[in-house]
Amino acid sequence: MSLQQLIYTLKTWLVPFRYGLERWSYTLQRVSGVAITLFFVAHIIETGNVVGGPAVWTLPPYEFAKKVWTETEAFLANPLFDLGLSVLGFLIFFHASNGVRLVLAHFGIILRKPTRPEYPYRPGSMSTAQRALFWLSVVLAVAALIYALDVFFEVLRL
Amino acid sequence: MIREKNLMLLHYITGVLILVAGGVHLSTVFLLSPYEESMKFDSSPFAVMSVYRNVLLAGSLEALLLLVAFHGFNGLRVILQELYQGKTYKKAVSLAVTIVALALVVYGTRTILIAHQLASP
Amino acid sequence: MNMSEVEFKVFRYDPARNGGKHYQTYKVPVRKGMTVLQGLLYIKERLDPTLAIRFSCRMATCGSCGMMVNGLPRLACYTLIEELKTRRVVVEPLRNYPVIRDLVADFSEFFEKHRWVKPYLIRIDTYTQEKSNTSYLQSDEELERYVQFAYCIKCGLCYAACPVVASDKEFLGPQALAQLYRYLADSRDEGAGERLASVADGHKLLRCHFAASCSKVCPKGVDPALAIQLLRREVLLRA
Repeated sequence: MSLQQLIYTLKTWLVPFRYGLERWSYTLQRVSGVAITLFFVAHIIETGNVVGGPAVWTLPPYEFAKKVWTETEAFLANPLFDLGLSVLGFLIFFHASNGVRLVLAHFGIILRKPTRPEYPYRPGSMSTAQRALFWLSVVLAVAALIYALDVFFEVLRL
Repeated sequence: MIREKNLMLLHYITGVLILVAGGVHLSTVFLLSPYEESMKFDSSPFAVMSVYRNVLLAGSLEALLLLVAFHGFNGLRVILQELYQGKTYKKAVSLAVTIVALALVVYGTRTILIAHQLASP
Repeated sequence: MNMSEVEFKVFRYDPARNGGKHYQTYKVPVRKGMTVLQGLLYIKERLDPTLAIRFSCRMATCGSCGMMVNGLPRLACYTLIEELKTRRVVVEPLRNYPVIRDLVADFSEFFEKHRWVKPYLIRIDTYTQEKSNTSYLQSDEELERYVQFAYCIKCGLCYAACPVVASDKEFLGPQALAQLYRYLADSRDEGAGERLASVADGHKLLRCHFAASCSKVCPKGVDPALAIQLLRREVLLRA
């Protein structure tokens, strides 16, 4: 596959303008999913330090593990990482609640029944219930972002 | 190997189960105790070692590990296999994704088992 | 907007004459109620007879004149120049299709995928299906379950809008999948088992992620996204 094709594909996937709400959901769900998976990899590696690191495969001395973890914790106390975690909180809450909506939609549960098309068309796949759940996901995600920012940076304690 | 429809059903099911296991994990870290306390080694009821000491919480972490590894890497497999459709590419992506996911599960399980042992003398 | 003249920026490409892909602009006088197709025909008749376009019924029923108009897939005969609300109309061939020449797209893969889903009634007793002179009875409720998806005119706008079709050659696409469901849901059809089994594996159905761009651009209100989700439900629960 050529570079030109790859760019065309990525532009189509990542630029969700003018095709409706559900296209935005598609793009955001993908982006958040990839971001969360990459975080997951980093998180498993980082939490591996709680027993002393990747070299440890048998029971280590308690103080050794505590030392390694305290060093890791000091490294992670960076405000940049805190901001990253807040954004991740937004992405996780969006992905999860939008995911619930997608499970319901993929099984046709919150979609309208097929009817004869009368102009102006009201597609059953773009039902009010389904769209309301999308906006609920956005609201929950923003709430999570604000909560995380408050935990890390105390933005609400004015 | 496994029919795509069964993989997708698993994707939906693991997604929903992650809501539960992830909810427990996020609660122990952010809700049930202040974040600074949750990050410490062993100095408070919901510090790191305290969570691993509790069999149920450690078990839920293991469940979360397995569920997220499957759900996330199956998602990556879907995305990568949509970019190009060739027989060797498809097999290579499936294999690579499985290997990385398994490696992470092995490493994470090691962390949970050793930490649980470390935490309960 | 009261305008007497509009600028058409038209994609031109002629592989037979080694021409590269480029755009050509034409000035087209506009009357009230004029469609993009009428503008293109004005160009073809008065300004540049070498322009290649596909059209037939000029009333949104044959599905021939699909093209990208100002960035969205539309039927040229169904798009008023006035509704575009601009003095510049950019016309390009439909996205996600190979281009034959100028605005004419190659629909062979599209029709191949349509044929693959077996868009005809499958009956166990084929003899009576072909030789009988009685009709199959169907109630109104049974009709309502699929008739919306039978309105498809195979214009291909949904393919141009779908983000999966853009990269996944194995994906059947919104039109073929909606037709698969149209025959699955038809009470006269007896091929449910083989229809469901044919899309239970691989990329054919399950790479749809419900971006619903297909339903957004469908000019006949067929709502292929709805058909695909209903089909997915059947495949996941029954196949």
